[in-house]
Amino acid sequence: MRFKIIIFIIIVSNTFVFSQAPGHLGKRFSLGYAFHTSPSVFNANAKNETILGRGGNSESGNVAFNAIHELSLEYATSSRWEICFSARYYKTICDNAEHISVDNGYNLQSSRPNGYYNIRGLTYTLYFKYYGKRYVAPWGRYVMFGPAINTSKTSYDSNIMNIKGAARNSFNYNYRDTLLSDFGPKEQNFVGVNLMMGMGRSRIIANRVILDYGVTIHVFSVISGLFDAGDIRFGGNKIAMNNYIESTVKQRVRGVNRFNAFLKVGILLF
Amino acid sequence: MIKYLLLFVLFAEACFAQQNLKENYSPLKSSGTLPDVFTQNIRNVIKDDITELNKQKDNNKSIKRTYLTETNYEIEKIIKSGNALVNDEITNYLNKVADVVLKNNQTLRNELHIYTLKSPVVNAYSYDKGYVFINIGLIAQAETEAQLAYILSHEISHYTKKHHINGYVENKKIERNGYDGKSKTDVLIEKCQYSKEKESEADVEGFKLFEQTNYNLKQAEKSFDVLQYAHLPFELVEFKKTFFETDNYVIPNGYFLKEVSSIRNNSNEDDTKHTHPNTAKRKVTIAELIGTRDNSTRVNYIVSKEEFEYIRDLARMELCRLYLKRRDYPNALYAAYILANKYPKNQYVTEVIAKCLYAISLYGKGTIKYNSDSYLEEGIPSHSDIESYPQQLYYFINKMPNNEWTMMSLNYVFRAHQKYPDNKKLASYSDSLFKLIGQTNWGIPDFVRVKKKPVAVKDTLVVDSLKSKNDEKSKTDLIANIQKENNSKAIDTTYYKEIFTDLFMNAPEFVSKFPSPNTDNAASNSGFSTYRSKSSSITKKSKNEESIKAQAKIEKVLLLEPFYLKVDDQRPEEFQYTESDERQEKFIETVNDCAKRINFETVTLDPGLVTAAEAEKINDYSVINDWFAEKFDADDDDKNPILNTNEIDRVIEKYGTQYVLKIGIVNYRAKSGIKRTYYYSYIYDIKNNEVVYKRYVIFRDKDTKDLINAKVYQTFYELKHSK
Repeated sequence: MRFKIIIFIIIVSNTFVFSQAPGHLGKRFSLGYAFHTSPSVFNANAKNETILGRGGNSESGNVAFNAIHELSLEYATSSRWEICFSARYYKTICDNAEHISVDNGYNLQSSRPNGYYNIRGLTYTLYFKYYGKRYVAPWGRYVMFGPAINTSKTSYDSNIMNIKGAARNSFNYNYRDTLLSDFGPKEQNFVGVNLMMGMGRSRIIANRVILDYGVTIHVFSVISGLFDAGDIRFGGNKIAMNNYIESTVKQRVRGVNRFNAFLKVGILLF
Repeated sequence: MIKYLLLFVLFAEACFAQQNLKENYSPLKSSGTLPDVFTQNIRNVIKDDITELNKQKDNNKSIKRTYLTETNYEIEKIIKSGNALVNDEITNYLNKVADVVLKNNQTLRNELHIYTLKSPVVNAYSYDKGYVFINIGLIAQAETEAQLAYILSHEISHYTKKHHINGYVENKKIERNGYDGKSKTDVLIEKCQYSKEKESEADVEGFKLFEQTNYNLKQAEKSFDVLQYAHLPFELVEFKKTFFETDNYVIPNGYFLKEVSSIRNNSNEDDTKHTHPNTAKRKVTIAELIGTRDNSTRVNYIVSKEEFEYIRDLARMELCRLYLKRRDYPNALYAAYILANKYPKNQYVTEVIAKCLYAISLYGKGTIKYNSDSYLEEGIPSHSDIESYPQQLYYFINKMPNNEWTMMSLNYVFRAHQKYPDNKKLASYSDSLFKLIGQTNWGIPDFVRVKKKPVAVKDTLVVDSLKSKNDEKSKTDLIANIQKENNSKAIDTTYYKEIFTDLFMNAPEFVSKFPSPNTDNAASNSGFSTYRSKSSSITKKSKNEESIKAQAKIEKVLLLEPFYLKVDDQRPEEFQYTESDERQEKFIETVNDCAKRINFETVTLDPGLVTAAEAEKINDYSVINDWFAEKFDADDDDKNPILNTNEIDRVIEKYGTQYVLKIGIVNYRAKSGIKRTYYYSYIYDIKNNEVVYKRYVIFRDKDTKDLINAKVYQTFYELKHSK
């Protein structure tokens, strides 16, 4: 697979490299850092905190923001095209909102797990920037698109994420507290694909520093946004303790990547 | 010592030798050391002027500050345009006349800077800083040295009375206060009234100055007649068809008017909306001033009659070129016709006539076009719009069918080429006319004389029958036929049949170049369908963008004065001269830097960057500017021949490239705050007369540095990587 990607990059690069003025004053290659953010709507937090990447939830009405950090490499292949690769990193939580049916040893009960679980995400995107006809890459207005691979790693703390309850013994009618905290392996990995699209505007300061701003979306996340809002699932198993994270993490990952505004600072290397 | 003396004599001869107008004429050029205005930093000059202004007590300082900025840039623009002549024969002569006028006022004399301006307009004007510009058109029309002296006196009075700056202040005040309940016309009339008062004052004050000399006072009055009839040629000479006739070629009388219209006298016209009083009033004023003054010992010439006449002829020669520059071929032809009567052997005059004939042939075929931006917006005017003898020429141009005009042109141009075989331009026009003939359905058979039956047959039928008879014959057969029939009496009624007879018989070059009948074009009698400019790969992407990619390898360009202008409607003065000037300096650096980064060779020709010793660069700049002036008179895509200058080849050789890059930025901010930045870069192949690269883009943005850098670099990159 990697080999195929490399071949693809080489072919695309050579298609454009001999066409028109690439780069700014001959500098084609840039390295950038971008900060992406968007309002966090679904399952953001259980603590009502309002810091970036955590706070707020739909119940409290507080606004929370997703935060993504991105490192990117961009290479101008022609006056209007750039081929780029980026890695986005984000750290967030999933506020447990879904009810699951659990067996507390005596009977079945429907409960919503307390707390949250942690998500660390890495999104790899190979994308192309296509600049407006009057502009010269990497300067000017552009649109971008490309496939993205979302990887995420979840972890939870049983002291935080659990289901507490009370069960009555049907023989002696005594109540006793129950604590369910096994949501599968402490750390779980997930992978998904998406299609990134975006638009932006880049400016160049002192012929060296790139200031880039714009918005991005993950197309499949946008499409599935309606279903996420309606809590509609397709083809999944019934949510249970052992698949709770698997069933909910994708929705949260989509939420982080669905729509973001970004500000990037880059440097033209050569 | 003798060696140095000899060198001095040679140098003096080179500097002051007159042109031999009997044989030829070389277009006027600047020479010697350039004055300070070429080398000074305009921003410093403005700063000094404003500092000086601030020391004075004045209620109009704000307006005057604007005036000083605008006027300094205006003067610089005129002088550095390449149209102002420095240390040339005419300007030196004008300075001699000024010396006479100001013989008793050396201080004032030293304040004046007199320049000749290469403009065909009959006009002169002066600025508040002592700059006086006299147009070639005016010098060509002047009848005596005394008239020039009076005109100079008038302009000097404008300067001493500070009319220019006061007029500017007054106009601004009228504009500021005037529209309150008044129409635009009322405001215009108010401005004109003020201007007329100042003109009248300059007439009177000028006369006082003029009176101090020994010039004929009556000439002051007569100088207004020169202005009155400025729309007529510098001499009224009957235009005779015999000029283009030869022994074998007589142009029918039907192509000429039996009589021409009279000259309208509108000296007493309504001058309400004019900046100058009508000439009748001005003449009355001067006549009253002359009154009973003794004029008997006064003379028309103090410097020299011979020199005046020589200078005037130089101006008239130059005037032909200036008419060509704005593609006013009838006026150029008429002026050259007048000069040809005086200088029948002058090669330059012959060449001008050849150029005009060739250009009018192209005009008739639709190859030369005019548009709303052209000087002749609607093409060559109808004869009904013209007065007096020139009307005959306009009628002739309009009346003669184009194929016949082309034939007549070839007849004149080829004979001129025979007369001056070393003249490459004449050879080239001759060849082009052969091509034009080749694109018609006319060929040698149309010029073969045959004995015609004594039956009255219409001309066209004769031509057709001849054609069918001779179509089968070879070119040499046909020529033999011509020779055989040479002794027989010509009895064809088609008047032009014999036009080339002697050339067919005696000029092998003519025979070899004369085309065979073009059967391809026979169907369309108008012909010339293939004589079009080469199709170019113009891409009109949108109204905001237009581009042509270079098709040929371009390795070096002549960078012609990069341009930068900032216009801001939110400020009181919309043109931001000083800021534009600063930006222009940086822009030149950017352009050169981008070229350097990409190892693209440029050579800069900018009148703002010359040293005092580089008058030759100003001349080169002038040549290229004249080329562009003629080019821009037509549409971009037209391939109109550039006829006003023959020196373009010399410039190409000197700078080692035929490609000229015109590059610039215009930044505009509207009152609403909308910003626009226009970037353009055009490369003209001045050898082949075509646009070879074009990039024109409008951005809805500020003129940021990254925008400029990116676009300029892109231009050079595309040139560097052109095929």
